[in-house]
Amino acid sequence: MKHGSPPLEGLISGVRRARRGLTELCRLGPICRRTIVYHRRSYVAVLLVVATATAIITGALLVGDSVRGSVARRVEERLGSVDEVLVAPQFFRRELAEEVAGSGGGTAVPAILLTGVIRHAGSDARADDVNILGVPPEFWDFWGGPGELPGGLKESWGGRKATINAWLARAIGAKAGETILLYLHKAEEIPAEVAFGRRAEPPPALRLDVDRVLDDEGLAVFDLRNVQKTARNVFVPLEVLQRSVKQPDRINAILVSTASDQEAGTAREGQQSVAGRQVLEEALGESWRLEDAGLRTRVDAVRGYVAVESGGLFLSSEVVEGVRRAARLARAQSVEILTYLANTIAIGKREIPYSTVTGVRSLGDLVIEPGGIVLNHWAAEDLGAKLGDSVGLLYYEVGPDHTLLERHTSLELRAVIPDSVVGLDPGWTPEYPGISDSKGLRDWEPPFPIDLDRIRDKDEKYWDDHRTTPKAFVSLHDAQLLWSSRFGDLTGVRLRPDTALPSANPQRESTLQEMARNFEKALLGELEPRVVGLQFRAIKSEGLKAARSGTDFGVLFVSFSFFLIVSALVLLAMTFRLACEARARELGVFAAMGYPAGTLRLLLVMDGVVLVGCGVVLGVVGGLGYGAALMAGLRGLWKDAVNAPFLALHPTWSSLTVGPLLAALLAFLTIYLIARRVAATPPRRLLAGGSFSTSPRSLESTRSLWISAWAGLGAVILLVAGRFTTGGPSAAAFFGAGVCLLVAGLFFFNFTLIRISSGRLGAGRVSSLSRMAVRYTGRSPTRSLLTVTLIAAAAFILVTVAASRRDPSTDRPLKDSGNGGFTFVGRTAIPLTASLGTPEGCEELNLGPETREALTQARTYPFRLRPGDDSSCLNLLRPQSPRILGAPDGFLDRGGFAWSGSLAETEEERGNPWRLLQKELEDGRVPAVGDANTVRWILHSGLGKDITILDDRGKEVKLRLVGLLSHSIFQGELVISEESLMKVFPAVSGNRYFLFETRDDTSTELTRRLEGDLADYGFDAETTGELLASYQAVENTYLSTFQLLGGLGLLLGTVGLGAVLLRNVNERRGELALLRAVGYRREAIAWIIVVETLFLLGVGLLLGSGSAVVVVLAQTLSSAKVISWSGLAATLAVIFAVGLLSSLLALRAALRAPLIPALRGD
Amino acid sequence: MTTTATTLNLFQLKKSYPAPGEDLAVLDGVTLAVGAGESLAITGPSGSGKSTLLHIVGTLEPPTSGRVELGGENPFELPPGRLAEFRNRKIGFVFQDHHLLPQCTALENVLVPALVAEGVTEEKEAWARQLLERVGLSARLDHVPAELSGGEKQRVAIARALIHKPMVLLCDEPSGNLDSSSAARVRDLFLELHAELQNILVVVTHSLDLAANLDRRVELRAGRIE
Repeated sequence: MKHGSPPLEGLISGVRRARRGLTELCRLGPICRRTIVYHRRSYVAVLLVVATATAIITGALLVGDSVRGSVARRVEERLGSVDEVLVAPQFFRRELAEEVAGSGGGTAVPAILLTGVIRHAGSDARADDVNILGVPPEFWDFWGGPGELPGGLKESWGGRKATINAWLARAIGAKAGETILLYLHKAEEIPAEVAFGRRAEPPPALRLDVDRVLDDEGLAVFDLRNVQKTARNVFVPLEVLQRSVKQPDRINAILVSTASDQEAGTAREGQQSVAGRQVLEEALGESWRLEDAGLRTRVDAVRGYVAVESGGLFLSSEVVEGVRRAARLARAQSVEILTYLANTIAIGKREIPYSTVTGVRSLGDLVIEPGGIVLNHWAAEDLGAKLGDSVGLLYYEVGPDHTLLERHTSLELRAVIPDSVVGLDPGWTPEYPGISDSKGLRDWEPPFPIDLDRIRDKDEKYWDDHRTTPKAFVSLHDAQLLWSSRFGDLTGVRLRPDTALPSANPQRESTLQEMARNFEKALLGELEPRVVGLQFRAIKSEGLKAARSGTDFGVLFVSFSFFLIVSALVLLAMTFRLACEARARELGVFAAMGYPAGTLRLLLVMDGVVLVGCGVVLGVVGGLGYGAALMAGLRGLWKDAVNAPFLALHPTWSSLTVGPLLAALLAFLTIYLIARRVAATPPRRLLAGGSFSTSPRSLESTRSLWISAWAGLGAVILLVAGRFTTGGPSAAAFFGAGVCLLVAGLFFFNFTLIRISSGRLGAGRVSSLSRMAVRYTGRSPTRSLLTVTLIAAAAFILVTVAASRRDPSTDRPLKDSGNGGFTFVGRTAIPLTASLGTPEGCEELNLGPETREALTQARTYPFRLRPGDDSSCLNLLRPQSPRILGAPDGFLDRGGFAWSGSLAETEEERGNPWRLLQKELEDGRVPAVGDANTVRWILHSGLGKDITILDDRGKEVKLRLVGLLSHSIFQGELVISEESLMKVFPAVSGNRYFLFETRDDTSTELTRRLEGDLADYGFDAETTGELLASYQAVENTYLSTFQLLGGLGLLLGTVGLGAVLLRNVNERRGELALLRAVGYRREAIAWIIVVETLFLLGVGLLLGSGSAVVVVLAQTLSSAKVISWSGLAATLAVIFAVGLLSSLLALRAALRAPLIPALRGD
Repeated sequence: MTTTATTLNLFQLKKSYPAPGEDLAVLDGVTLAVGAGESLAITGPSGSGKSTLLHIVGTLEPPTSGRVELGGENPFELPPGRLAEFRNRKIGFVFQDHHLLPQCTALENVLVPALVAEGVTEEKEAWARQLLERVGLSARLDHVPAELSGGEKQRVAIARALIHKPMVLLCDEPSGNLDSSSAARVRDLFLELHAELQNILVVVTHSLDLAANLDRRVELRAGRIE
């Protein structure tokens, strides 16, 4: 016969084995069924423990599902059917929304979205950081539930009235019919930080009556930020807001629903319709005009040019690049211009006030070289200038912290130009509201200080004749050196045709008009709408992505439940072992009848599979209940921390499958290990009903001692490692040391238990009774060890967690701590463009004398703030665009704060890692600092890694994390240098975040005064302690949860202790009855049982809490942490009391057992 | 030394257990041969090693040294799986405590050894019923142990031990827990079945009456045959 190949033989043998196994299963099936029914009492305990383990794991995973599901539902609710949104930094035509919609981009609604401060006109109660939404009636068609759109809301939309949501109504105590004041934060066309920008003016107030208060559902909580906190919203008819911000027929936002009803379902799954997106972008590309970007062209037929200018005064570098390319395409020559205002043009003591000066490469054939200046005839005559004179220019520059500084420069007079068409052209100066439209020089309304007394009649005359015509010209190079800003370095570009212009005016004009049209078309093609702030954001899919990729609470809770799961598995091992012990003789009979060990194992495993199956099914039901209870707990525990009343149970099939499967696997493995050990026990020992140990006790004893010694050594090594490391590694080393200590203690206890059973009884009555009780625990060492392990693990967790709680609210300001030595943090809803640190700034902000006096006692550090998503643990969504702070140089030089790690290389950087923010990095990466917890858990990044964000022009910028802070006040944002922030986000104007370093006794007074004086800006102060406490509240919530789960673990430990005691008492019924028969009183019997309980409980508590206390003490020495020892003692006392209660059950069973049957052994 | 196919031979069996200080010797060189159809009573005081000897013969535990041969085969040289099969096929046990499975009926208890071998065939079931009839329990086939008296339970245990017509039937104080009339009945049953099956019968007993009814008696004292 030909032999098969080895693989084939293997296959055949495998099939045979499977067949044998199947046959065996079929044969043993009936016995298994009978056994389970017969031993149902002991097996019910096993089943319940499996169900508990399943419920714990499934419930924990369901928490993850539920947080994700609840937050995602919240995103859908607050956005309704809005899928895409365009919010521009400037106002643009309302028609753009209609054109986008008309081009097939979906349903588009025009809107004005602003933020600001709301005050109740009656009570003066104030709410900061309020969304102010100017919307048309069609906005309400986007309502997506869960409640119905309030009846008549859309139909009655219009008129001078406001609709607010309940959250805002509660904040300011407003009701329908009452009056509120809206202070709007509106970006000015000319940035506030240009010297001629409007600065430090109180925001305009809009007074409106509240028409109705909407419940906090549906679009009433509309918010574009990826946060779960309920937004404070006020809705105003679009036209009303347009009038208020003086932007008739203009908007700054388009809200779009791209999806049909069917597609909306797809979008909800986070898959934005790609086709819809493409259509929308194409529609925008085709519809936008230069005026939507604040750009304009002006034809000057007389002088023969087309001017390109910006409403924002400066042309950004991207726009200039586009203009250059478009000019080439339109066959035009371009002349680049930078015009600025000189406060004074002077030669010697003769001076001309308030004149425009233009930087240009040449005037006709006259090339202006750097260092030189050209005056017009009027100015030269006025100054009595002659060639070679040194002409002084005084001009304003925006200095640090928004102060206006008057600078001076001197240039050599190189030429005087005659009054010509070229020179006498007010068109050199772009249109500037408040100046170019004023009747006379004295009528100027500039946003900077001017001395009207300096204006002479001849100046007025010049204004009347020549308006904004520059009196001097400098080289473009010098002008850009002196006056360029982060917003750009040109105020205009003049275009002239390549070819000669017709001399006749109508033809000249028509030629220039045609060139202007060609140029505009070319520029629209050359510029991407995103570089001028016109870009759609897939807000819905972004929000859903943020909701689904936030902190994985499933994994978090499974981690929290780790010890609870381990406790459940230990309890499972214990109960299954007890069940096996009850069947030991029966198993011995099987062995004696020739059942091989494998079949015995199979018998037990079959029982186990049935128990696990039933337990898992029961556990799924329990898991749903447990998950719901945890969610209810989180709603309560998190109420103040993260405002999550919307959290509800959202089970998914994946968790309802993975949880039970994982539990089944763990339970099966536990049962299999026990079954394997039981089946390997010699038949004779089984027949004797003895222990399942397969190795001699002496060997187990020695092995335990060795393991204990190694674990102890590991603990020492880790303690030393923890002492010499910092941050996360240190905490991990200390925790590891604690676990090693616990393991060492448990194995040493096992070693002792084995020896304890052969100890001597004492001489005294109480002593001998106690020793007898202790010796009982050594009769079944494994059982006792498992009990002690359960109690010790729970105690370890409870003590460690109790020691981890912190209350930073009372921490003193220390420079090297999480508060950085700052007393309080101030935030404004509307940016301040004047300094709190200078008398001039205080003057501009109109601060009271007491406030100014109080500010002199404090040191203030203003930060620029680029708004974004809260990156702290208070946010359940993953931030898509984190909030970013720009730290001023003064703050970076000051240093301070506790650091978790940094990329510092030099001694100076190590001394003050903030300096890393001032470094230039390769590839244009921007150095950034974040809080270690935020970076790790919320942003899922780390030290030395990059976080990609979009800049103001929609371009990707990489932030390199060069330093991580420890438990700092910067948990909600990333910090970069102010200089970097201005480069990346030039549109961010003013400061909205302030750190105050004060004396303790002055801080309360200062915060009160600032909140009063800067109320219109929405100034809100919070002590650094309160801020840290709010972050810590979430961490403490996690600790509470951990503690709660540890408590449940203790409960399981107590159940285990009770089970073991009951089993011990049951096994010793005869012995205890004998003691009673020979005259032992019931009290003596009770004493034996209580001592036995106390011994196991005491050892468990001692090992668990002792290991934890060693770790806590080591950490305390290492980090100067303050521990609440009284709290710890109370926790241990509770554990002890609960454990003691469990002995009562066993005691009752022992004392109630009838004497005679017990003696007969029935 | 050669052995015959149906003989139980024990050569210099020794058994000791680890104990603090010195190991505890339970058997100290037991040599014995029992032929097919022969019955042997092992008597001796408590702690003399009777039960240990029985367990070694029954392959429930190995000797520290020495050999056991049954039908010319040393079971302790077999791999664990084959050893269990050997025990299942060639050895029957009757314990002082019946050790019936409480969840199974009398008939099922008798069939338990068959279950792990070839399974419950019609032939086996017929034989089990016949055995139970022989032990006088034909009316109690479907009763669970809790519904049987002590003597009845022991008779079920005897039937179970004989289901495979074993080469050796080992009994450890089979009537130790029974009253005298039940004990006499069990004894007679043993002898009848032994005579019928012609196997080797080894009985550990304190009962001189039972011992007197067997072919041979050896007495163990301090682990040695006297």
